[in-house]
Amino acid sequence: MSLSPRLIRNFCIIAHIDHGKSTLADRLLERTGTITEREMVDQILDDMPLERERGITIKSHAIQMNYRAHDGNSYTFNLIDTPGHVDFSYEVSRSLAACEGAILVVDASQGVEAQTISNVYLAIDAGLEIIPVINKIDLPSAMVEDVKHQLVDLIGCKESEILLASAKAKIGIDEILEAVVAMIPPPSGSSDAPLRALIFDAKYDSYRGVVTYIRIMDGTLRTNDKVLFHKTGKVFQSEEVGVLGMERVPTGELEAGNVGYLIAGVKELTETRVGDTVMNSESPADSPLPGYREVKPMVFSGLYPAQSEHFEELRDALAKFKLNDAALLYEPETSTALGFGFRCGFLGLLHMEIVQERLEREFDQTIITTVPNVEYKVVKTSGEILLVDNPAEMPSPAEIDHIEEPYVTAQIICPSEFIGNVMKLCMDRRGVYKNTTYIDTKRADIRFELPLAEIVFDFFDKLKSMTRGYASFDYEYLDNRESELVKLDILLNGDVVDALSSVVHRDKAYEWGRKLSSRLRKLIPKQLFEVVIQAAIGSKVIARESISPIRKNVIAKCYGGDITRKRKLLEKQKEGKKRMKQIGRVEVPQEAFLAVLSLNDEE
Amino acid sequence: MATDRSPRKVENPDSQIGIYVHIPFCEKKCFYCDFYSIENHSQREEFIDSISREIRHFSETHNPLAADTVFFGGGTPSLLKPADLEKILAALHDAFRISSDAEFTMECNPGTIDTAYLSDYKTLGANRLSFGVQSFFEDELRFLERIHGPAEAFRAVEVAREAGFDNINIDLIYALPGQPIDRLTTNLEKAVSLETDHISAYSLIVEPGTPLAGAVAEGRIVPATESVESSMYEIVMDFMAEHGYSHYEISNYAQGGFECRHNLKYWNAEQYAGFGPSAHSYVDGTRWWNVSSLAKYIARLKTDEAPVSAREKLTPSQMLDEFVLLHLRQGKLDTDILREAFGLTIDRDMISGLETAEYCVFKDGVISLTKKGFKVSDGIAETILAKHSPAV
Repeated sequence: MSLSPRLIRNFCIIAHIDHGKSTLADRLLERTGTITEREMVDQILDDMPLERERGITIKSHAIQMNYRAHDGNSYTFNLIDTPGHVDFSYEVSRSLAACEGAILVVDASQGVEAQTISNVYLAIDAGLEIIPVINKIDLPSAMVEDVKHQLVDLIGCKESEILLASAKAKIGIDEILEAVVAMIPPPSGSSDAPLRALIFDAKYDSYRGVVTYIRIMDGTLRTNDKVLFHKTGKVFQSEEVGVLGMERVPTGELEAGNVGYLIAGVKELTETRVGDTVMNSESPADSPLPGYREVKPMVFSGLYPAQSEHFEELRDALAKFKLNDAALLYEPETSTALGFGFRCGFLGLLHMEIVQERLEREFDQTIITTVPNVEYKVVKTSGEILLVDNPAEMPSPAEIDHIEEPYVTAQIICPSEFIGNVMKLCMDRRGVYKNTTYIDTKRADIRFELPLAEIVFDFFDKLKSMTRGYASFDYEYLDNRESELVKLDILLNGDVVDALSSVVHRDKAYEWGRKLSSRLRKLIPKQLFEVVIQAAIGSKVIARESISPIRKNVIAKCYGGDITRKRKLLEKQKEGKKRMKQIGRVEVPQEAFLAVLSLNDEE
Repeated sequence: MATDRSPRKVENPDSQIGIYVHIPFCEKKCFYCDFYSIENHSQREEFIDSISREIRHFSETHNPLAADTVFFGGGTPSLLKPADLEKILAALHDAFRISSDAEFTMECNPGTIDTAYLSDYKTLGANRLSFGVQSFFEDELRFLERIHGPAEAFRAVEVAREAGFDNINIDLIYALPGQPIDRLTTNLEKAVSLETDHISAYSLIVEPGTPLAGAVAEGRIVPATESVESSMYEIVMDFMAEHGYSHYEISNYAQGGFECRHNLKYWNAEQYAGFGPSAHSYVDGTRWWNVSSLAKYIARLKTDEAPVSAREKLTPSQMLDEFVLLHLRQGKLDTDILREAFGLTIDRDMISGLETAEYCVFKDGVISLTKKGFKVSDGIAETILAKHSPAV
């Protein structure tokens, strides 16, 4: 089946959360007859329950549609879905590289947001043609004219080029489809050239192994070809090649310009790295496609089974999870407080939350998560350099020459009346102010350089509450900088609880020690024995709290009619105790290990 | 760890069953009380018929069992006319082989004592009386909504002795909201001056669903703090010990030999059969309890239906829970029995931790609670069981 590249359009949709990306995708599928209205489950592309709940797309997918345009030609559209969040910006960039154009969707009542801007810049950098669309124009709160101005400022388009639509009310859908034909260039590349296909996504299928999603940049890929994955250097036999309809449709071959999938007996997702180039191993191309990079975790945390006997189950769950999420890194670690568990690396905060939540939901694991932290570069007095991703492993102060921590560039967009609040929050978080620009008369775009460690604790929640929910936030890794950091330990009845150790700035250590101990005093219930909580830097105790032992815990009356009731009460208490972690003689509830996260609420 | 096998019988194989009869009537319901009772006595006769019927049903489904304790509780059993008591006893004697030396207790309200009634109870076989005295202060009794005054408590015990009862219990309640310590001591002194062989002293419990619980929830009544309750409990324990009463259960104290044999059956997982609305039974490892409504109780028995609200067959793990809980309430937990009956070996480190903190003394395989240990007996049971129970 040969397809003229002239009749192919490869594009994606860029939008902020809730601005209507998924609904628009549904409408395109419906209008092109790819799916009937009856078959339509709302927001088809987001098929993971968590995605639907959060209204975000975590993993990208692609889908092919056929569209008969007003010019009489039948076009093949490949809609490549992109994960909208900063944590997945590398994946976004690879999806964009597989496209020639992007539909930029902005909510008429919300306007341009931080994520929109960062993704638009990625798209412009990738040389994509942008079709600006204002969605939800039928809302009473729509500010179409304002948003038009924002878009003109943002991408330099003409007002007349902006399409007005309501995906929900099916307004403007045809215009968008026609614009895809008219404005997005067809793919270039020759089917006769040596094969170069870009991997923009992959997923694990329990029956077929890894399914690789690819865009053929040059050449032709056929079933039974011997394929070479350039980065890993591995050669596989192509078992099935096809395009992506509502299901996989085997076609036997894929030519330059098209988007589809490849199944080649790959057993592990790590062997098909997103961004890698697929070549024909018998006649490999001279050079791979540009832009490959290793994905590096930015945020780390310990994951422990709530009950230590479930360690093996957690290990299995992580292994299964990784089949579908190559970005998740984990290795076993041991904590004296929490027993056997794993140190996990995540792309960012959202990624971390998603992994934790899905492990609990889909793999039925009850997990204790330690407070997230970043990776510190520790330069020892001996000159040795250590990368520390677990505060408990920080060397003693005497061995440290200095510590470096990652900084990010943060972009915050908010109504201008909240600039003061945002400034204060960022300064409190050791931010370095860069500049403020105005998107329009009402909204400011504020740039700060912030230590990543300062935004892994509840930064986004704080930002939202300080701006009544109006701020949007995005960040990007900047560099590593030397900081005055110290390790803060927590001791319970004299024993260091390694899972509660944290690395904090020296200026904040006393305040944190005090807040953390006071928070723990509230979270740890009274016990049969006195509990002493101390915060310490090295051997120096900087804060102390104590929990006096319980004085009475017995019910006066227990006769025939009370026994069952009392036993049930006892069973409940026992279950509660089982969920706690025993540290020395102290029983610590799981919430305590996340105490740091809610510290800023402490007065 | 406990093994999967069923626990070996922990009770004495020769032990006999205890009989409980619930009399669901009160002249006036006290606002802290969560036992089932009603102030409307119009269905009294139907109740007597129904309970006789319930007892007969039991005898039809069980082989005649030997019984050595009978306990009439309530409610207010002392409202029972001797003729009614006689009817119920006739049914019981048909259903059980009640031994001649059985302990036979009647709970009595000091406010509804009738000398003639007491003599008749005695004639009918009652040999132990339990008086709900609660306090010797007028205002405290009014607060508790009791119908009697301080003088009547003294009179009740006197009348009981005249009627020939020498095994008498009095109930006290302490840790009333705002109660000063010296009030407690006075109550204790007056109680021992009555020279009864048994005293039960309970701290006031705010039971869910009672008017008291409502008042607490609305902030109209502020219950005693944990620390006041704890200090008062210690005063009670000390006082009782000084006056020769042995502390044989959280809230129960007796002169030698006068422990309540019926209540001990509850605490030692022995068998008991309960009759009347809301009564609980425990026979052959199954516990069941009757509906807590006189109307439903009567209606069910009219149609020959069991008035049972629910039943449960105890699992080995539940038996273990109850064993530990109830034995600690009696101040002693025999770890040899735990091992032999439940296959459970208690962690020595945990015991020595409890010993170091002076919650118990461990000697000859027996954990004996100290006063400090009695105060947190439920907490100790949780600690032992959370560490040792098999995961469910």
